[in-house]
Amino acid sequence: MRDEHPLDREREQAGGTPGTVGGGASRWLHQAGAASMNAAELALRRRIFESFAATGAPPSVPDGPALRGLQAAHVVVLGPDREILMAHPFAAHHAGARVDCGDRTWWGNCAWDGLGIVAALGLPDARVSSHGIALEVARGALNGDAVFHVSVPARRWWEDIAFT
Amino acid sequence: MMLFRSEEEALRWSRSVARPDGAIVALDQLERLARAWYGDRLDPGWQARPTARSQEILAAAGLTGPFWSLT
Repeated sequence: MRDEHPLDREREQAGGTPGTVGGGASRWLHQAGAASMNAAELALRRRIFESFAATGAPPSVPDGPALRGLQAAHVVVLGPDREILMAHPFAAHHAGARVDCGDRTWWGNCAWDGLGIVAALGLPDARVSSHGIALEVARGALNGDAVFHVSVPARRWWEDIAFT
Repeated sequence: MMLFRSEEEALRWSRSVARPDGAIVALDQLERLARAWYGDRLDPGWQARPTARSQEILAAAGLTGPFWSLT
């Protein structure tokens, strides 16, 4: 039985306030203000996602207006040192879900994100593992014996990145 | 949001952390959700979608009712 969420430890290490990672980062679903992203923000977003897709990790991006715009739009979640912690479905931290395909690995925040990475990358075969449970995608079909539990109502997901 | 080996295990965990109001999502629902929610994230012409569209995606995966309301 699990008695704590793995991000709880990260939250504590990051020094964030209860219920957050990095002291106030938000959950990923409602992309507030995203419709008004400018060209610089869209270009940076593309760079970030291309890096995650190619390497499994975000690029190093100096803090600035474009990054802050993406944060405000909930496109990225920044950590305590303003580093990119998440760009959903991708994650820079390794506390959530791992996606393996051949000799390549990516990380997401949970199994939903892990399967989202499989979808975004168009992987026909992959293994998504999270909290000791593995799901296999073979020729596009998902196999596994598990259920996904969501603790927090959808309208409140953005209130607490560490516990949804 | 976490994977569990069974609904029983999930509900036991949920009660243990005083979050009894959670929801269970079956794997086939989760797969449909992930595909629709994230499938376009690497598209060159990606655009953010309005919340109403996100709500439609949840509904298409069978996730309806107050718990799944985004607003």
